[in-house]
Amino acid sequence: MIWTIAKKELTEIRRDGRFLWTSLIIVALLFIALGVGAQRYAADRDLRIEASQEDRDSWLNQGDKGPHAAAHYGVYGFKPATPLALFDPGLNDYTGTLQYLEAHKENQAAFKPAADATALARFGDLSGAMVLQLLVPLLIILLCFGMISGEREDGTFRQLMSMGVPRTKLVWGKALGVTGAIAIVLVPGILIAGVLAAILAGNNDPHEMIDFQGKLLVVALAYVAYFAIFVCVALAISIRSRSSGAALTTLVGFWIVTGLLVPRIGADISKAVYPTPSAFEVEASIQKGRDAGIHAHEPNHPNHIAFKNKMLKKYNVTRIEDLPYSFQGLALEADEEHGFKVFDQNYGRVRELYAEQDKVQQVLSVLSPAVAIEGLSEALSGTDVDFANDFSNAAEAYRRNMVRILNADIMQGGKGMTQYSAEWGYRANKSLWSKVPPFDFDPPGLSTILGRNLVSILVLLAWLVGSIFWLTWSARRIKIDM
Amino acid sequence: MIRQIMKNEWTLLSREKILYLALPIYLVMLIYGIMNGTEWKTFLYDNSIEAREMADKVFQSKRDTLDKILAGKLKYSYAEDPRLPAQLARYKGYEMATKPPAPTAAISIGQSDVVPSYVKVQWKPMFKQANTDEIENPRNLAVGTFDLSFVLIYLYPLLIIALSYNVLSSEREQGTQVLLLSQPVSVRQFVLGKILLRGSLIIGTAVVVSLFGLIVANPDILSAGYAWRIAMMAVILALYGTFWFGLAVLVNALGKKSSTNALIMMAAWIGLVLVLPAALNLAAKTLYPLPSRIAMVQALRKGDEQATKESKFSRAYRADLLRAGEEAALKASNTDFYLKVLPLEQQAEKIAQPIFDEFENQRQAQQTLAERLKYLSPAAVTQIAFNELADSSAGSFNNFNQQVEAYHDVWRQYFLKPVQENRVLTKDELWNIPRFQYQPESGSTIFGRIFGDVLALLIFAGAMLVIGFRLLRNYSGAAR
Repeated sequence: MIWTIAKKELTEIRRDGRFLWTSLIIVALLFIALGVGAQRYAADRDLRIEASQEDRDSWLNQGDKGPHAAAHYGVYGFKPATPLALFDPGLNDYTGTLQYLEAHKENQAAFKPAADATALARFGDLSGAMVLQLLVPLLIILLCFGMISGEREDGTFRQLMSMGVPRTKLVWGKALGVTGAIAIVLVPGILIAGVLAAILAGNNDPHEMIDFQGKLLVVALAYVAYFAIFVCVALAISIRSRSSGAALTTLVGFWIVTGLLVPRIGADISKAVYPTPSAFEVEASIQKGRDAGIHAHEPNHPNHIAFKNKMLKKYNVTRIEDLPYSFQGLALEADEEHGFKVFDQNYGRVRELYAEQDKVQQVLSVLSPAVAIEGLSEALSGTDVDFANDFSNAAEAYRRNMVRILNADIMQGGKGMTQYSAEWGYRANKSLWSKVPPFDFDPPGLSTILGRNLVSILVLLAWLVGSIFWLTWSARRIKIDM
Repeated sequence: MIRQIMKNEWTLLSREKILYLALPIYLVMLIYGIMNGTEWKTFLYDNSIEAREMADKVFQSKRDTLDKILAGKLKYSYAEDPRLPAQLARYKGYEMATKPPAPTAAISIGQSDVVPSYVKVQWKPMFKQANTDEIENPRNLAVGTFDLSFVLIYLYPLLIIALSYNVLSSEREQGTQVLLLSQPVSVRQFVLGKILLRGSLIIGTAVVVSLFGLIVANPDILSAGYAWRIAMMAVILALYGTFWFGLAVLVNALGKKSSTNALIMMAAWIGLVLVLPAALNLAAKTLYPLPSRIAMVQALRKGDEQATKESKFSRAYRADLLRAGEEAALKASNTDFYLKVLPLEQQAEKIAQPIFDEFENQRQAQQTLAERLKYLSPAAVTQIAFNELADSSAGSFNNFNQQVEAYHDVWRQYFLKPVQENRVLTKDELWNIPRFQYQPESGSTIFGRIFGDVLALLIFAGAMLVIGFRLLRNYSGAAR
């Protein structure tokens, strides 16, 4: 019985011109979005690989110089992307693309693409994810809003009931019909566009392919769940509405509130509960913290003198030239280690804050399945805040290792020298530069991502189960007349 | 006659439940948007003051140190002499170039949450300066802000649609159309009356609340002579609203069912407000792709390598000087070293310049294209016009950055001279380091930029009304 109903609905939907045009537009947008996304992804990736190679060469061939000068020359870390980013660019426009790794300072990833964009960019990025998150639900609403209320208005519902069609079977048949129609449009569309995107994107670094199949599968499942939620909600509202017009208004209202208002209000609430400090406050706090350090480059600073006396006492000598390690190396290293703590404290607090804000928004996704799918889709596509933080953390860990290696070399190589000579007279060469390994970053694997987004997953599941129950419950109580 | 229709309509409308549900929500959102924007403006303002004070303090501390040295209160050490020009220009001193928000900044947050409103200026090229971006959670940035322009561009048309999608179709569906047509009133007069009432209610509320709210929250708008900007904003939002009402007239004139009208209007809203601007953004980005910042980093490094090779200058220079003894080496290297390094760096930048020029050209081209494409969507036109009025547009920040670049040149020239003359700064020079002063774009420049927007909205709104009422002339009254 369900199948017969589903088949009838499908036929009806297929004959509806509105459905044809809307789905054609959606598929066309999907093709454009994925095509352009793939091209940009491939171009960015090629450039990044080339630049990393060149940067490594520059580092190795920087010539003979003091290790500390090399630390100031520094290295660039380029934020990688995983192939799913071509489908969901997520927050990529709003996170920095490269991070300068140098002595003394934990730089933040710089150059958000949004800062260079036109005002149009703030209307959103036309991506595969946008099409699936915003437009496909509209297609579902368009198909579903009149399914029951329309039968009632046309007077066909009474007939159906008189024929003894069970209400739940009728509703599930209709749900199946809609699902079939959406699948007929989306499955081939996504498959063809996906294959096309894969061809355009070309070969990928194995690092970027970590758990790719798994991530793809979970993304697909998440979107299926998201669409199912919309089918159930739309049908339930069609059942409960006085007229098709009222059903449409309610559904569009639901779509606007969940897709547009809740995310923005959620961001505001999260900021109100956990206010983001200004860059200024953070910078001032870092300055203050670093000021308590030993000021390696200021020999007359009281902290510097105190540190010198401490070292002289520790090794029981009277001149820094008699220390077992170069004083310049000791001072630089002590200053860096102090800096690490200061940076960890301050940026650590900022990252915790982001996490708290994200948590608030994840909890608010109870009000909006759109928020849940957005977060999950970005996370799996490697375009969320966590991914950007993972990259920054890896880059910072790399920087610390680099300055430690370089300072350790000054401590040894500059032994017996005055501070000035150790800084400017002592020179290291390529053999030291090659002791610093090339920068390498592994994107988070599937299990890490799932663990981090448990709230979103649970909320999405709750929405799914809840909407199925709601639909079944509503189906049993369909009124013949409103 | 029209007045009579409006009066009757008001009697009917005032009994509608939706009015009492939607209007308060609408009011709350308008006020919330204004508050959010004002709060952001205060944040920007405080930052710009603090940034400036930070630079003040640095300059003052250098002067104090010099005073102490000159008065013999401080043990002199060459390395810590505040008058060393290269050191001061490169890392010991800096200016904070700030762009304080305009009094009207609360209209639209625009680009001001992603482009920094203050930057540090030192010797190094601005591109290499550590960024002063706000550390806002990227998720919050991506979601977008709930400011006045969001309420007006996204939500205000929705209210218009909700109250006007069935102005005529409902009469037919309720069976009152026959009665209506039997009256000595034309359909056009009748629709005009209905639309005028709804228009004065919704547009009127938007204008009054926006103007009043903005002025109360930002009294500096009046004292700074920015009143014309919010007057322009009122004109723009009235035109934008008129466009949506005009669309409602047009759709109703087609004589379709109410539910079809609602679908058409929603499709128009989704297309013009959500999809089209995003698609235009994609077009601008694809047609004029910006060179990656990564490529610029690489170009600077390569420029540096090439310039070093060409100059035959060895950065190990100081090590060679050390043979002459440490004090002498310190002094010589601090003056002579920079005398050689500064031109070397300038040469390196010159080598890398083409990619920076390309970036700038592409960005300009992208911007120009976006400026043209925006005319396809009244929502995009309105957003960009609001950004201009709030001084938060890409153009406004572009202008700020050009001023910063110009100041950066001044900074370099100021310190380069004493380096080339191989001397420390005079006391006078240390006291009179030129400071950055932001010059907001003039009112006439802004007016010139939004003139096209106002015109476009006028055409959009006018076209909808003219076509709509023209179609109404042939309105037959039968459902199609």
